[in-house]
Amino acid sequence: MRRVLYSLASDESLMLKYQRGDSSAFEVLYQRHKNSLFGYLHRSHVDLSAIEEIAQETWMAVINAAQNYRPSARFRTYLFAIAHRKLVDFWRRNKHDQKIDRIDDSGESLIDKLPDKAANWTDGVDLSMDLLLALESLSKEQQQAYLLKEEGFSRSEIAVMMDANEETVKSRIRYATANLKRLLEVRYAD
Amino acid sequence: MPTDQHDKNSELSQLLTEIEPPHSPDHLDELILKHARQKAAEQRDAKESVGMRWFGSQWKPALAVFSVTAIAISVSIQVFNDTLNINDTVEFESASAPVLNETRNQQLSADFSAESLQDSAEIGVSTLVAEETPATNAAPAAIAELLDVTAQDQAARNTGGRAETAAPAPATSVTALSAGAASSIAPPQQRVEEIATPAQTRRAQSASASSALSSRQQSEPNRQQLLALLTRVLLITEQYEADDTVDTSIQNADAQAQQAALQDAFAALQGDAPAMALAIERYQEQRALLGSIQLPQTLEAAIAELN
Repeated sequence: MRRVLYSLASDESLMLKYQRGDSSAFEVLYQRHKNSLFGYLHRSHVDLSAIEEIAQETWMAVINAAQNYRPSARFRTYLFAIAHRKLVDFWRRNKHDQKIDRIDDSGESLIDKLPDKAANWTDGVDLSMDLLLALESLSKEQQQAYLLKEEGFSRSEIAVMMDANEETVKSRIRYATANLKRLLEVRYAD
Repeated sequence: MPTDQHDKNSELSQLLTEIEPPHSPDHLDELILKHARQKAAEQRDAKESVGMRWFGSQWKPALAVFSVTAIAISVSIQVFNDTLNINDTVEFESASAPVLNETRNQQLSADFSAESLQDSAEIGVSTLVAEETPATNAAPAAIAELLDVTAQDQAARNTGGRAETAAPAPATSVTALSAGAASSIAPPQQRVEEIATPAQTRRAQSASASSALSSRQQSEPNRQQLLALLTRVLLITEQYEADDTVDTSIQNADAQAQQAALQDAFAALQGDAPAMALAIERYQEQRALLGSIQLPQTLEAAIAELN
């Protein structure tokens, strides 16, 4: 019954309930955002083990900081901001601030095969996968700006998450979009 | 071009949403939720322990503060209630009884007492004079009686108890004695006479004075007091009590005019039963304040006497 009621509650109210010691409120909140967060991390980084590690660190940080939580922004923004920082920290620890090299089963880099694949879109090529690969070829700043925009955050929110101003975020998104198009060459020919 | 770019952007977004990401593994979910429950339990325990610990260490000062506060509040309420009771008493009295001018009352009492003192002083003088006269009048008779006794004793001593032979002697002696006494008493007799005459005159004067005084007691002072009393009851209302000049003017008015005013005021009350009842009450009250002075018992009697 409580879960049913909590399903109607906002993220911020659930977090405040958890702050007061109600663990069932957090369970509802976790179920609501776990897949969205996992998908964002997946699009940012393909390595599944790394994604799980970052996801765990993100949620642990939310749990440990529950007593200091203040509903000054949306909970989802708060969650993704922590996830972005954990992702950046992971890249720094592993020196992955540039492109990451995805390899296929034969050990060849998928990025190198991307232009050939892009030429055969109409032949059932997995465009989505190629998009992921293209995303990974972007600089991290452009990739994150673009992905957070696709997650539904505003430029101001992205600016706060990335510790940059809105104009910088705007240009990063523009460049990311242009690069993705160029890399994919998806129906852009006139 | 912009439209094309917007379409291209939307296509990219569409591609991105088609990517079905892997779901969060169950072991990760359990790990995170377990940690969340543990933290929540710790938070609940911490709150309870903080509350109890604080209570355990702070209950004595808290109890002391509470006790002091409770005592202070109760004392304040007591003082407030006492103040209210006093004020209520004063208001009750003032609401039910006519407002009295303390200073006027004291002055009136002082006036009456001064007059009574004066009267008593005069009465005392007349009494003194009256007391003096009986003593001086009684002097010759007492002396004569004393002489008779002395002569009888002397005769008894001389005759040795023979009364017959000694009788003439005592008579003679008595006569001589009386003559001598008369001669010796003559000045006192004269003095007595001298005294008696003024005493008699004075007695007559004092009698007349006392009678005059008594009549004066019954007439002039009583009338003055009655006038003052009726003036206070019928003419001087609350609005004038604060104004001594008005009061003085009323009191200094001609007696006849004052009497007429009082009669008019009493006649005006005839048709107003509540006002009449209030006037009667005021009269009784003022009469009681004046004490033992002989004044009519009722307002109507006082007006009748005034007439």
